[in-house]
Amino acid sequence: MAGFNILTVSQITAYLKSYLDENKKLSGIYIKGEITDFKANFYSGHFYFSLKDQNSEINCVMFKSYAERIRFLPKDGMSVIVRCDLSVYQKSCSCQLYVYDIQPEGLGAKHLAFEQLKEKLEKEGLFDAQYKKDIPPYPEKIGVITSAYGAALQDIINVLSRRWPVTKIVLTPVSVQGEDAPEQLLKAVKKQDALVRPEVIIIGRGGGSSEDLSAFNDEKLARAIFECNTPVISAVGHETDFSICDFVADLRAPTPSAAAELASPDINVLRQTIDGNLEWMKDRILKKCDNYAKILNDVQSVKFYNFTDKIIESRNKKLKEIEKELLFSYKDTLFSIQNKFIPELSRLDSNNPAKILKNALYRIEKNEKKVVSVKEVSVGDKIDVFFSDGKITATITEKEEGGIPF
Amino acid sequence: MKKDISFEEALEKLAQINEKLEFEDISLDESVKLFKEGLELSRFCQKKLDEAKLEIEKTDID
Repeated sequence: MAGFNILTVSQITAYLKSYLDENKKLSGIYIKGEITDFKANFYSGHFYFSLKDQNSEINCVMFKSYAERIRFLPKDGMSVIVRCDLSVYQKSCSCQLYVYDIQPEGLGAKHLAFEQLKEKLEKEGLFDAQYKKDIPPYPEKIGVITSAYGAALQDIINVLSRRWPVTKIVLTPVSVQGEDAPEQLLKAVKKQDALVRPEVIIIGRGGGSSEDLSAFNDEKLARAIFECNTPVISAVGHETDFSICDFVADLRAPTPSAAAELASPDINVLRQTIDGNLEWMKDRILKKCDNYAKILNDVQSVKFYNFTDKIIESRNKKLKEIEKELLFSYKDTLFSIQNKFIPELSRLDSNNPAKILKNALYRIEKNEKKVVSVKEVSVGDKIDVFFSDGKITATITEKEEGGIPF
Repeated sequence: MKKDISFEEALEKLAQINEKLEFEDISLDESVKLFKEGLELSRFCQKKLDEAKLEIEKTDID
């Protein structure tokens, strides 16, 4: 055997397992068959069984986490459809099915159709988060698509009249189950979106059997919801029910009441918010006014006036100084004028010959007659000369006629 | 204020006014103007809430 590549049992088993696991065609597959050798392990919670048909049989294991979700107890002889991966149990190198879900075959066909449609639409991107529209927070018009007679409508009205009576409900009544239901739901969505134009649409119904809810798994309806320009909230059945409608809608609500809550704000909370906001604004504006009042007060304050007063005062002072200075220099000038010119003038005056003469002589007489001219006297004549303080008598010794220049 | 303003628009405007009053350095004149607008918007919202009465209308598919 030299020269051959020799493997261990474990190696070939591991190889087989990885070979099968990598094959995408063997994962997420649906297989139909009859249950045999069913065992629910009491301790682990796992299910062990086989599926068989006329010719073949295959081992199946369903782990606890999946087994817990099954809403019926599988039994030997039951025809079922399982969703599973095919892989290898390495200890015995046996092929087996790792089962995620089991449905009784009658129901299973519907379930299969549901799963396949879900997968198809998911692959097309109809459930992508990027297409989900935001639900407006304060809608004033809400479109409702449901039965006019169901509990769902009443629940929605109750919630909205309590939480958000500001809104208007526009109901498009439809059958929510039966043959006509998918078509009516589809038309209603299109009409609401094109003509009613609410801010948000709630589509749904109350709880029922999965058969009752099946209208909401319609492919055309799903596509209409996807193409709808208005945000859609889907509320089909109870919390545990999922429909295609739920996946494609912008928001899934567990129940119609919950849908109404998700579509509306709480009026009481909003009232408090608005009142609080108004108080806050008043407070703000008053504070601002206060600030300005303070500034105004500062402007008008004594300090400011003191300041201007000081300016005026100092100007006045300066003015007075200038005045004084002017006055002083004027006086000075006047004084110097008086000082210089008055003595000069009096000196001039005292030298006045007329005045000297006037002061010097009082009267000249000859023979007791007043002499006023040279012609009245001759050389040798005696004349009396009177002064203010006495009299002399003189003899003319010389005489010259003609005016003496004074 | 516009008469045909929606509740949501009114709330949005109120939020903007709050922001301006809170953070922006604006004149008293401008503040008073904003406050007046805010007051009107608040009253508009309050009135809308006080007078609200759920209306229900029906539109058939055909």
